[in-house]
Amino acid sequence: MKKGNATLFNLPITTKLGITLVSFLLILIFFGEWIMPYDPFQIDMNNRLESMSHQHWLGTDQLGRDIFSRIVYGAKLTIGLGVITIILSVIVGVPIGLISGFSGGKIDAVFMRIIDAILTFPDFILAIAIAGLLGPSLTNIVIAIVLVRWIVYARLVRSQVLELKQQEYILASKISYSSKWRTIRMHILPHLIPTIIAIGAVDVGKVILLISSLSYIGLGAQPHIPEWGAMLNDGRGYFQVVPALMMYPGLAIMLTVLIFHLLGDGLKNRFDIRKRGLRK
Amino acid sequence: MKKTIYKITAIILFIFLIGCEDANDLSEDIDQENKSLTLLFSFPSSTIDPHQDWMGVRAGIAETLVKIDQDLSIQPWLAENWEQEDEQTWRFTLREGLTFHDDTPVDGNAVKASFERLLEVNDAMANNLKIESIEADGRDILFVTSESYPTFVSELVHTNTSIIKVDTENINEQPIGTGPFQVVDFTTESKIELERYEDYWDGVALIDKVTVQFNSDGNVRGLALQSGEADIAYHLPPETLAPIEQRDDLRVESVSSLRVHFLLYNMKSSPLQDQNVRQALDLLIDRQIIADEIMAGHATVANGPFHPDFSFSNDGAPESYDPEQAESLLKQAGYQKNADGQLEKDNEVLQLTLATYQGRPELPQMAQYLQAEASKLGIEINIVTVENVDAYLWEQQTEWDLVTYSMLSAPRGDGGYFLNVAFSPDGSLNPGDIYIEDVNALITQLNQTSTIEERIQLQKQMVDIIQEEVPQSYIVYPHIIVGVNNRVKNWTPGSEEYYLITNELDLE
Repeated sequence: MKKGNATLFNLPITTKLGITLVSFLLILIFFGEWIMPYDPFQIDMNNRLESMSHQHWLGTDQLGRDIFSRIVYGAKLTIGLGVITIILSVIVGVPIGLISGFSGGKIDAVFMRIIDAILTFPDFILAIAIAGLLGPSLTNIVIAIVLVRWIVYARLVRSQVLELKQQEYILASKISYSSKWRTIRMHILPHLIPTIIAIGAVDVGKVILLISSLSYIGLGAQPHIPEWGAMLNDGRGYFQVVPALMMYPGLAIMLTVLIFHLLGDGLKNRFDIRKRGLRK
Repeated sequence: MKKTIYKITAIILFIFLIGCEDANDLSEDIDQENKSLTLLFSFPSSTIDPHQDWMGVRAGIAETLVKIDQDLSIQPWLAENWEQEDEQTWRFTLREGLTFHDDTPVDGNAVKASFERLLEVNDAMANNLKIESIEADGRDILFVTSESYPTFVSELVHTNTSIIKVDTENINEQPIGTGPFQVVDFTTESKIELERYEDYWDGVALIDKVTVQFNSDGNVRGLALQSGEADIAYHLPPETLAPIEQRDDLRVESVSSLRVHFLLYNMKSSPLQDQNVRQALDLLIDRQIIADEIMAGHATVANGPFHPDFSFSNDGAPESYDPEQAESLLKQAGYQKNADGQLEKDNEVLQLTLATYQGRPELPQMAQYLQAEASKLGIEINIVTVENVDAYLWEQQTEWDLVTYSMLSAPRGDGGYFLNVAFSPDGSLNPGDIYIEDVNALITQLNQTSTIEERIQLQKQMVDIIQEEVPQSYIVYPHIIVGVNNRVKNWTPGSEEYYLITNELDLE
């Protein structure tokens, strides 16, 4: 385990790699419009299914659209949605976990039963069911995934709060007539933030996989939107003839998920999460 | 530790060997004792009740009184002959010696009972057949229609009019018909297991067992053919053909169909009520490119609902791709570009929802192509891919503006059926509520007309009006592309898509 006083420079190599690659992804997301050589929606029926060339770095798809431009555009969409989904899950899950853990009793019991109910289903199956009910669109899969994913944060926060509640400084805060809200804000939340960030970073990878899978089976992004999962689905028909159509979006998903895992793992070590709760 | 690993490896290897042996035995059994064939079809059936689903006739379970041959002329099938007694009366005589799969004989009364059930369970067919009364006498059946109905006989080619035994349970899963194959087992939307019926009237089938499987994914169908899992794979997408064409043991059959791929406009959608807008969209379709590129040449450019080979089709050239003309039509309709480059009228942006479905993979591609062409002019098209397109179109009529659709437009070598269902206000294929007064009047007239020349004239007239008013934009006449393993003998796909499994079908 790394010591708590690690700085940016003595981080383990994997974390450094994670951070570097995430910054690379951020560049893709924010400056993508300048990197894209073509309009990702531009159909050119005279140049369908071209292989790699100077004009089209990764070739063109079945409607003559530039694959590289579509992947760059898709980065913003796929990763952006992943991050948004996590933020929403945190916004829903953390307060519920805090209330549940801090107040205990009936409120706690009610929330825990809801969480138990959701936990009985595998999360992917449940997400498919909810997205299927809501109808195919990107907004709806974000909603579906948030509905499945918030429990991760609620349970995490609740267990941490239960642990922290036993600490003496919480007792001290209570004795000095701090309000509940003040106790949570000053003495509990600060302890939770690093954990949430680290878990969230790993989770972004998982959620990107979920979004892409749902788009792949046709529940997410609708045609012409270059979400990576949807691109995989589009290219499916050609995988024997032009495997590039599936290979590049597939690689993009794989690398992105890997990057977020590296980052998340690094952050976990950096914040020394497993021990943190037990220490003062 | 090492020993354990050795043991485990040995066990795994052993299991492997057993596995190999079993598989070999099985396949030998099949080869020697009975011939079995697997046909992979695209659209899953949730029921195989022949009165409601087409699989009854397609899989060789049930048969109709009359059938059509390759030239689309009507031939006797269960009926030996028939005659028209007056404008509303037809007399059919059944073949001798017909039996259902449970060996009960098929007589006039059985046919009568079958038709009575059909009229009861299938409203669309009841509307279409217009039968007032049925009388049975020995092998004779007398049909009386409620009005003069010259094409009545050709309507009896429709697979839903097949003759089945009605006094049995579970017609949805175990229909009893007269065809060369009987149902052993049916798994909803997955597969039908059939075995031959030994006392089939037209000579017992040459193969013993047939499995009809469903898979709505065209790529999976192509792969199943390549792996040998399927012997016949229907409706292959053009992009999956290259690897199949390279194989010596597989062949690709491509026959022109009676089908048309088209855009269906929703007349309830306010922007599309304007003929100019529909025409503009029609002009944005580059039919030649779609036929050459998306369909990879396995299609003919459409100039109307009916294939040009039909005498009643349109003589005009296909609408050519003309975005400038489309733009000026939209201007005429009152649309102006706003600051964002979108077309706008009375402060409302021209935004359309285009529904499409994966069942025919070329349709979503056409949808995207149109979407791109439309966005160049500032029309925003949102595509929704739906699972069950028919259910969506009927149940959510306010959600969609246009849809890519595909339909057998001349199923029995006559356009009457299509014109009736697609353009009558209560037609079963009119979810967009198309109502054109002139066409409607002509449909009524057509339904009363018996002479072939007059029918051709009327249908041509209707096609002209339809092409003028653009309630639908016809894009291409696709070919039926079927992948076949070369061990399949005596079999070619027919353009009617009715008779897939026959008694003559054989395996090498």
